[in-house]
Amino acid sequence: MRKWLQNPWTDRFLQSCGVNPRHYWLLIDLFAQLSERGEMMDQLGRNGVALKSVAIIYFLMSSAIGVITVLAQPSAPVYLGIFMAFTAFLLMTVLVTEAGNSLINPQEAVILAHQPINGATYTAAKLSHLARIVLYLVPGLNVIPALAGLMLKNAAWYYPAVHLIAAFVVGTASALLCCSLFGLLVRFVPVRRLKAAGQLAGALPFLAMSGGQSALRSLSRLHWRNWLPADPLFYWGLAGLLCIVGVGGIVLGIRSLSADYLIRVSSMSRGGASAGARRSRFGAIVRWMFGGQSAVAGFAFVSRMMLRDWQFRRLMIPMFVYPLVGLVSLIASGWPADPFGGGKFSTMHLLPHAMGFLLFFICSVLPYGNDYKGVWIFLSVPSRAIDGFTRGIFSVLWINVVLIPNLIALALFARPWGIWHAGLFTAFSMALASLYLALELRMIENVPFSKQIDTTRQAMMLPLMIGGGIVAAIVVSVQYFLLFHSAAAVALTAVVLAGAAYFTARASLSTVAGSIRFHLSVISSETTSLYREIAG
Amino acid sequence: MPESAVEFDQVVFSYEYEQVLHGISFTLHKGEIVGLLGPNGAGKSTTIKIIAGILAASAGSVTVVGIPLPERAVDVKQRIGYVPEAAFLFESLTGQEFLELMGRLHDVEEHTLQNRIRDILQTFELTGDRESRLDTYSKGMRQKVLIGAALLHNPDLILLDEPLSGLDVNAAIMIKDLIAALAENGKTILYSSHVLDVVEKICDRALIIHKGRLIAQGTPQDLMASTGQPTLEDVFRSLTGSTQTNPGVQGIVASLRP
Repeated sequence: MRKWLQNPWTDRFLQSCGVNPRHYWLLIDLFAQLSERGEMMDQLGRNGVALKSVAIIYFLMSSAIGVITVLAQPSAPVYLGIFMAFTAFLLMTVLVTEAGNSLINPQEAVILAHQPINGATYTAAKLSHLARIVLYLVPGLNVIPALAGLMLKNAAWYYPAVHLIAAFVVGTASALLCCSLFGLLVRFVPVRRLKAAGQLAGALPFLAMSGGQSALRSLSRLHWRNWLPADPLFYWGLAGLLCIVGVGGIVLGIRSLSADYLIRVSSMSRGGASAGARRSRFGAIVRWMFGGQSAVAGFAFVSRMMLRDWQFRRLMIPMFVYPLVGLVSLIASGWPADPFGGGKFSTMHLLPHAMGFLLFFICSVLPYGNDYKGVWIFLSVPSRAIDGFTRGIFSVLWINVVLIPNLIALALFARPWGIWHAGLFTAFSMALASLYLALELRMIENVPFSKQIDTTRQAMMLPLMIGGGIVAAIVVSVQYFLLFHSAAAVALTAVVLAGAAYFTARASLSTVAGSIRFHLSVISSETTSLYREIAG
Repeated sequence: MPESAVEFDQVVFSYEYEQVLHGISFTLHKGEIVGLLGPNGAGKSTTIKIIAGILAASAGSVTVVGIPLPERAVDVKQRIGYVPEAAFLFESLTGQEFLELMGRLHDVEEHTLQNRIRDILQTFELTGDRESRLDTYSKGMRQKVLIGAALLHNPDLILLDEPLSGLDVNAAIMIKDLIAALAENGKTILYSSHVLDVVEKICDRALIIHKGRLIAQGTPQDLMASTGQPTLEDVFRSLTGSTQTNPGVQGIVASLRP
């Protein structure tokens, strides 16, 4: 592929875009070499195994959706529209993350900053892997739905071709839009705010989807069709205007990447100097509850790194969008009903499971971080301190994700539901969320923030989350239909769950401590273990 | 009037809300070896990064070999060699691969590049390790690779930020000889270091920066004469206000007692 692409025509095209072809191909080779040797693992488009895994997952998911949608027999344009929106959304979630990671957090820029590479060349080389993502994921998402489209009523024989061409156009436009978005961020956002802006950008596809749904609902309530002229020319004009604005924005954004990008990125590498020195008020509680200074060390380390680590924040911020949107719509739709009210379903039934979902995600990404090379410091720590350190990790998650939100819920609902119902629900919710934490803690298989981000593992998250969602739905049903009709049954279940959480947490803590010790022993055996070996 | 290699005029630089350089001005002449001195956090590395085109000054003007910065940073980078303070490298590359990459990014012709790499590896006694990954190199070996990478493209201006860090005595002597030889061949060298006796021996001039301000400049002899101090270290202590024995040292020792 590489040899096929490197030809005089491509070089001429690159030159016309302000890219130095010689430097571009050198950087492409460098990034490929670094990815192959495990030094640059944070980019999906450069990791063949992860990319293929994601493509297969998307293929299975879109095949199922395609077959189900065809059974509903929508018209061909509606069917096409559904899949183009689906493709754009899923691609944007991947591409925004990838573009942000490539442009806002370029680890290698520190080494290359003083080399005579212009901004256009550097960013072109960095973003080339987005094209590979589009090439893999667009067919993965659309091959079966395109073929299934033939079963629609009045579908033309050439429908699959139209579907796939449209999907590639949407994919390319999505990739260009991502590049443009980050170009505009790099150009217009002050350097000190750029990292935070990049992290927030990861949440944009989710916000766009939630916001789009709300906007459509609001528009339909306003009967907007009555307000607009019926002349089709108006719509053609509007579409043309939107195209011009869109293309103009994309061109401006992409051109922004060609200027002083490397200088701005170098300034950014010192970002976070004003992280603040807040002292946690929980230190004494953790020392008392979880045992000793090493537990406080684990608590302080993990809680501060969760707030400051680029990779962790980048991955977690989109996860908070849905709960936030949910909270806003909850407030808008009125106070949640008492779960013991009988008959009516209360959204509060979802609370412990939402905590479990959040804890699942946190535990799965906690071992990965930007400053993973700092793990060596743990080699100098006495082995027995790891036990306390692990309890410290548990304490951060339990206090921040289980205890505090449940206490807030108790304070909020004590009055409308009565102290007895609110207290019992909180006890149940805390016990269940604690059990989730105790089970999910085993996903932390190394010192937190001590591994380079692994796109293969990230790719596996989606099916796990879907599976987890199905299990949670079953548990919520059991909760609603069987359990919450009797306060005594809830109290008894809460006691059983709390006991199970306690013993499971003890076993999990021992496993995590053992796992951390094992990984540290691997790292200490030789320095090269920090990276994957060169094949052969 | 000697030809200038660097013109640094009223340069101001800020990181976030913290101003690091407060209107610094100086000139480096062609073929000069100039020492850049200052306590930790004085702004030495920032000054070097601005000259290297890595950072852009917030105010003031900078020209390197007659080329303005940051407008033509790429052209400046083509003409400078830079040894950074911290040895960040692509750890999974071998020494040979890293040097090839750096040479090719500077458009060094392939035959010339291979000859220069061979000479550099031989001189630095790294020929036997050329195919080893950089993560297996010692700190000194990495430093040698960085110095070699900075020279591959025959730069006019060489920026050295603590270049002797991690080097053994023989390698340090060799680097000092190399710096002198490069200056004799018309290269301009800006040498930032905390090792003041080395600066005193090899530099034609010294610039002393303290809290982002240039507080003194001149030949080591002139600085010693003007301050009445016998060594450059004493000049440095008197200008930056550091005393012979820091009272804080006794405080640390006292706090360690049970």
